[in-house]
This record gives sequence, C-alpha cells and structure tokens, in this order.
Amino acid sequence: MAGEIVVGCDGSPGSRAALPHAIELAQSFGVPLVLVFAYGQNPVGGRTGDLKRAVEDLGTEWLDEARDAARAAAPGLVVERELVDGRAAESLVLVADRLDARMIVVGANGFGQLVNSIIGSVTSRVLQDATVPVLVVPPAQD
Amino acid sequence: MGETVTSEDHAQPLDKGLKVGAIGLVSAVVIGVASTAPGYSLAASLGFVTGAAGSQAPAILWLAFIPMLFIAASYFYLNRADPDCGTTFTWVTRAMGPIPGWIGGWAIIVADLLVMPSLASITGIYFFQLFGADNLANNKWWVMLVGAIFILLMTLICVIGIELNARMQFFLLAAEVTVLVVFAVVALYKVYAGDLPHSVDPSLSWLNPFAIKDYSALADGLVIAVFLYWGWDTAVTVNEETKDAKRTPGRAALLSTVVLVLVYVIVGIAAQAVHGASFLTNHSDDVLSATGNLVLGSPFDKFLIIAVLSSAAASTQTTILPAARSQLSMAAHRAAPTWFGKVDHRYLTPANATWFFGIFSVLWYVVLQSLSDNVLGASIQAVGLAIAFYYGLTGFACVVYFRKSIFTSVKNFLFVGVAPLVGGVMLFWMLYKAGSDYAQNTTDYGSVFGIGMSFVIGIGLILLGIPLMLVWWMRAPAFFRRGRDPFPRPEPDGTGPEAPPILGVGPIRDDVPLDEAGVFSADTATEEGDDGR
Repeated sequence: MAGEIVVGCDGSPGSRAALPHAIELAQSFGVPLVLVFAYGQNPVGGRTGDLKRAVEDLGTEWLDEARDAARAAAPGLVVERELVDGRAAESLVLVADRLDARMIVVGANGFGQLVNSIIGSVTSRVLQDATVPVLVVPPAQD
Repeated sequence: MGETVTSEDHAQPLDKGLKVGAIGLVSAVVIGVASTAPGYSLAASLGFVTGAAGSQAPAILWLAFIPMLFIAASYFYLNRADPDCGTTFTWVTRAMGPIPGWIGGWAIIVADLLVMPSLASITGIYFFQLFGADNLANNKWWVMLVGAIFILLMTLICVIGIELNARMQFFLLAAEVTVLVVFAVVALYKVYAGDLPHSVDPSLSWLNPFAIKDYSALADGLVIAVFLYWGWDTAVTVNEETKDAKRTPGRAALLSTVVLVLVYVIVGIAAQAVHGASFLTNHSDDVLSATGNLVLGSPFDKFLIIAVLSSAAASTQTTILPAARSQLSMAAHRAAPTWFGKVDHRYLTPANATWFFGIFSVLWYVVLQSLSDNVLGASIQAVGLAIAFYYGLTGFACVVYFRKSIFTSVKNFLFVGVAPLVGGVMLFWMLYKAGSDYAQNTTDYGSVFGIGMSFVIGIGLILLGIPLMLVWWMRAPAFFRRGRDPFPRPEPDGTGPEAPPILGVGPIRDDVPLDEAGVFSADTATEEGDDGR
C-alpha cells in the first residue's frame, strides 16, 4: 500500500503539535497513518544494549500515546507504529521511501539557528534528504 | 513492515526489524583505536612506564598486549552469549552470581572515574603548551581550571549526544596516528643522523622483557601499560551494530591491535632514543610535548600537541559514555537506583547517569589534584589496578560460564578456556604484584596511614563498592536473589539456547515494583512481568 502519511513521534512539543495535522491528513486522504520513532545511539563507547532497550521503552510509550490519540480523534483510521534503529532524520526518510508514502509530517524543534548548527536539526535534515513532500509544524505557542 | 493497529487490534508487537546505518569493518577498527586513544595514552603513561622499567619500556609496551589479547577472547565469546547488555557486570553476574557481578560493574565505573583526573590534567597541560604558556602549564591551579571546564564540556556533549560522523572520526584518528608516526620517523632519523645532542641509539635489548631483572618493576610497568591498551575491547563489543556480526568484531579487534602495538612500540623506541629513558620519566606529565619540541621544533611540535588534545577529547568521550551506560545497565537490572536509568526525553541519552559521573569526576579531580602534586601518576597507577581487576575477572567469568563447552573442541579449549584463564591469571598476578608494590610506595604520591596513595585510591575505591552494595542489597534485594545462569547455556559459537534475562525486563521506572520486574531464582528460568509491552 502506498500513499501513507508518515509522522515523526519523539515526545517533543513539535512532534505533539505535528500529530493532529498528520491525523487530519491521513483521514482526509483516506490513507494509513504511520507513526515513526527512531533511536540511533552513538556506537562509540560500546555496549548500547540496555540503553537501547530503555530508549525503546520510551519510544513505545510515545508511539502508544500517539496511536491512542489518533484512535480517539479518528476512529477507523489505520494506524501503524514503527520503532526504527537508526538516526531520526535518516530513518523517517527511509520509511517514507520504502512505503512510497505521500508525505512526511515533522515538528519543528523550536531551537534557534545557533543551537541547531551545533546539535543538528532533524527537521532540516529531513527537508534536505526527503524525496516526498514534507510538512513542518511549529510547536504550540503558549 | 509496520504493524497495523485498528481499533480492535491491540496485542501485536511493534515492528523493530528495521535497522539503519550498520557499522563496517573500517568503522569498527576506527572506533576501537579511537577509544583506546593512542596519542593521549602515550602522553599520559609513557613517562611512567620508563619510570618503572627504564630502557626496557618498549618491551613492556608490546608485552602488555598479551594479557589484553587473551582477555579479548573472553570479551569476544561472552559477547556472543550476551551481546546486548553490559559487559563485565552482566557477564560476571551470569557466570559467578550477582555479588561478583555487582563488584565487576562497580570496578568499571571506578576505573572510568580514576582516569578522569589524568584526562583532565593532560588536557590542561597540553592546552597551555599549545599556546606556549609554559608557566601556566606548570601551575596546577590553572591546569585544574581548564581540566575541570573540559570535563564539564565533554559531559554536556555526551548528554546532548553530539557525535562526530564516521568520516570525521576516521579523519581525526588518521591525523592522530600520522602525527605520531611522523614524530617517530623524524626522531629516529635525527637520532641516527646525530642531529640530537643527547640521543641514544636504539638497541634490541629495549624490546627484551627478560632484561628486566625485577618482577616488581615488570608488574609495575605492565599495570601502567595495560592502561595504554584499555578501550580497544570496544571494537569487540560493537558487534550488535556491525554489518557482519559474526566476523567483523573479531577482525576489527585484531586489526586495531596491530595498529596499536605498532604505534606504541615505534613511538616508544623513538621517544626513548631522543634523550634516553630518564628524560621521559622526568617529563612524565608532558612527555610528548617535551620530546616533540626537541625533535620537531616549533611550530611543528604543535601538531603533536593537537593530536594529544584531540585524542584526549575522544578518550574522555569513550570514558563518560560507557560509565553512564554501565550505571544505566545496573539500574535497568535493578542493581542500582532507577534514577541512574532515566533517559532524557529530548536527547535520548542517560542524562542522569552522565551528569552524575561528570560532576563527580570534577569533584574527584579537584580533590585529588589538591592533595597530590603528581595526580597523573597516582591516578594512572590506580586506574591500572582497577582495569587489571575487572579485565581479569572477565577472563575468569568466561572460563566459568562456558565450563561445559571447553572440552568439546580444540578451538573452544584454546580460546574459551586457556586464553581467558591465562589472561586472567596474568592480570591478577600484576594486580597482586603491583598492588603490594604501590602499597609500600609511600614516597612518590603520598600515603594514608602508611599505605601508598595509588593503592589506597585504586583498591580503596573498589572496596568501597562492598558497603554500597550491601546498602543496595538491603533496599532492593531482588537482584541479589538471582542465581547464576542455568544450564544449558549458550555455546561459545553462538548456538544453543539464548541467555536468559538478567533481571528487570520492564521499563526503568520507579513505579515498577522490583519483584514484578522478572525475578530469577537460582537455576529456574522464569520470566514474570514481561507482558509483551
């Protein structure tokens, strides 16, 4: 099946803001919603096993939360969850390519340009590398 | 493919099959060598090896590799049986039970903590020398300030999870090794050309360990040199990340070994030829900048200083990351408070454990530096003791864990039986010999109640683990009720049953009661609490 809406879920304010838009899009196109959490760890330093498991637990929690929100907002919507062992941006693009998805939805991280240039922004990486349209949603302003 | 969840569909597991960006052989070698940090390791310890073994320092440099190679066999095979958890902590727990396992995990953290003062002060000293501020490089308070800021900065980097990409890492390591080799080649050329006034022609006896008459000197030198090779086991334990998990880790370990032994021996011989062994001993806290200055002159000696600094940064990262992950491992298996297992929601790193280790390191460094003038010497000797302890323990754990498989094939007998056993015995011999030597040495780094400082901090900190363990045992006994792994156990070649979980298969959260987290009683593999999250 192609045409899915792929949305990044990492528990951040940006990704929480992105989710309702992704749900709405999937619903109006009548396509499945794919929730993606990616968790690449630095291989330097060895022994990532237990850390990986702890991160998977967190990711599963967020994916479940997002799935429940999607179900509540749009009963009958097909929702898939994917935990990917890889860097966030790379993984989102990869999942979208593999599914032949219609669009990637991500939240903006809300950091400034300086911080992003140091720690790298998942969102700008996705924008650079994606082969499908990307929707960027800013975090909710309080 | 992803799992399809509709309203009536609850129980299917998530798709976790996708894996992006596995590590190839070259990257695994780079990680192994970069984790060992040859530039920093030489800068930190060469002067102390010559202090112990005199002109036979190069012999110590290659000899120390042998116990490491033997212990590497135990890392390789234990890692196959239990690839994705901790290292010594989980393996020793499986083989010998929770008490030795807990102490093994503690010893890893102690070793990591003990090396931090050395990393910080090398960075401080070489930082000032880079700018030619030799008077500040000799002022321990200024060095301490830079060292402490450096530790905090590196801790922050580890918390945020900033990492170099593979290409950059490769480039930095290549630059580091190239600078070291160029230094050695130029030094040897100048020595033979007679360009250096106090040079000593290299002699084959430098490589002969039998020329060291005194066993204590041999053991002292070896314990320091073990520190030089510390870290390359990472090449073995990254196997879950590698493309060909069966062959890549072994090859990566061997290749990184060859690189390290060659670099150490060549640089060791060259540095010693420049001005003799005692010059290195006298410059033990800035050995590479002192010899680099004689050989390369300014400004080319700055390349050597930059190589040492970048190596120290890499080494600090490969110290903080495993220390934090070890704490997380212990927390995940309910062998430490769950606080240490908290993962930062934004950066997905073990932030609590990382900050705890970083801040504690700074305190430890400041206290040690204030107490002792030669903080480098005391901390390197002490870290050698801690490494010898937990590497040795890992060797014995391998033999004990696979004891029913040792006699099933010649290969098993040699690599799972003999090598780890010999490695373990060698390391424990060094631990005993050098330990008793350090205990009697009250002159070099001071003493506490008439016992030498390096012994007090090295062995003292490991022993401090016992009361801490007892406190945790009283608070949370679940981990300590776990027995050794039942038979049948995984085979060394990766066949046989999977190793059962250690304990605590649920999320690391305070609200998951210990006893519901999957408790193991001795020799009965029951798994409770894993409700297929």
